[in-house]
Amino acid sequence: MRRTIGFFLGVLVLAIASGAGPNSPVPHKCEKEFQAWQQAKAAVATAKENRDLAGKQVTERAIAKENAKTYLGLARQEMYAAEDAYDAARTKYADCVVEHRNDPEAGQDMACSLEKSEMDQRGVLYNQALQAYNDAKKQYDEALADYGRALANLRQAETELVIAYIKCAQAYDAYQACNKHMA
Amino acid sequence: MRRMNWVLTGCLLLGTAFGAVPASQEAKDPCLAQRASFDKAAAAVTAAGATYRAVADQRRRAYDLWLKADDAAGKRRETWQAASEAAIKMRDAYNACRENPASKGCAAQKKAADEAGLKAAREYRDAVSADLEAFCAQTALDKAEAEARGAGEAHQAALKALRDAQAVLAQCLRPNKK
Repeated sequence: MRRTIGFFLGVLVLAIASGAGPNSPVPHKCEKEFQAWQQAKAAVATAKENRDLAGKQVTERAIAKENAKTYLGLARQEMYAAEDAYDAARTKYADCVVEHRNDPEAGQDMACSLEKSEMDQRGVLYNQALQAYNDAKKQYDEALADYGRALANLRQAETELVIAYIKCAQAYDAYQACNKHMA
Repeated sequence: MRRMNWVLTGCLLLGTAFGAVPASQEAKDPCLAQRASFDKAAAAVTAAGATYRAVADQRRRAYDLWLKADDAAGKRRETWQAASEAAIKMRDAYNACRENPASKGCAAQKKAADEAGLKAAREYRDAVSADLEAFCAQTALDKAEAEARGAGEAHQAALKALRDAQAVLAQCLRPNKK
């Protein structure tokens, strides 16, 4: 007898612990709707986490893109300046060549050797600046592509969140309708 | 006397037409053709230099436009993100109100959530539009940079042609060339 009472008491304690007590807020007959609502709520929470993560990634990628842009801007200014300097040196050399057009030795760069040397040096500097610019541009293009992908992910995550909100609201309405019907 | 003048003028015209005058100039300057080639090459260098400088100016303008467009797109993206986060908070507040059995009504929260959602949608549309403008400016800048590079290379090529023409002219001008 004592063993039987002990068994029933144990079952009762387990039932209360699992939320099936007499004061449970969920009417048994709306359990399916309640569970659907809880699942929809969990889906909203997951979608929000995904959206937050995507938002953080966009911010990170935007910072990386801005850094790459700053670096590219410097490389670009140097390249422009080097190219202009090279152009000026070319023009100076051409002017010298024209000035010495009647000098037979000018053809061997004798008369314009200084200008030629300056032009060649500027050419080397321009090629170096162009190479640095190309490297910076490649990095920027990669950062830009990453940023674009992160933006697309964020937009996708936001769309999924909106859908999750709508489903959650519908699940809640269904649960409330069930409760009213049962009452 | 007047008839004589007409005859002389006629002879002069005929002589010019048959190349008598250039032939005599060539006799005076044996490097006439080389000089002409040199002058042509020098004019080409000047023109190529001017083209490069004009294109380089366009490139700088394209760069400024891209910089402005890209900055504007970045700001728009930040505004959109902020509006989107605000809309999520409003939606959460409305949902919390709706799911709270003790609440008396959630019309104000719903209105705020709907408005914030619309604002976020508008900001998104503006951000996409700004991104598109930045992309167009980037394409224009890439094009301007390629053109400037091409113009610089054309300038270099013209200069090389000038050097070649100069070498030919110098060879002609050397006293011991014969």
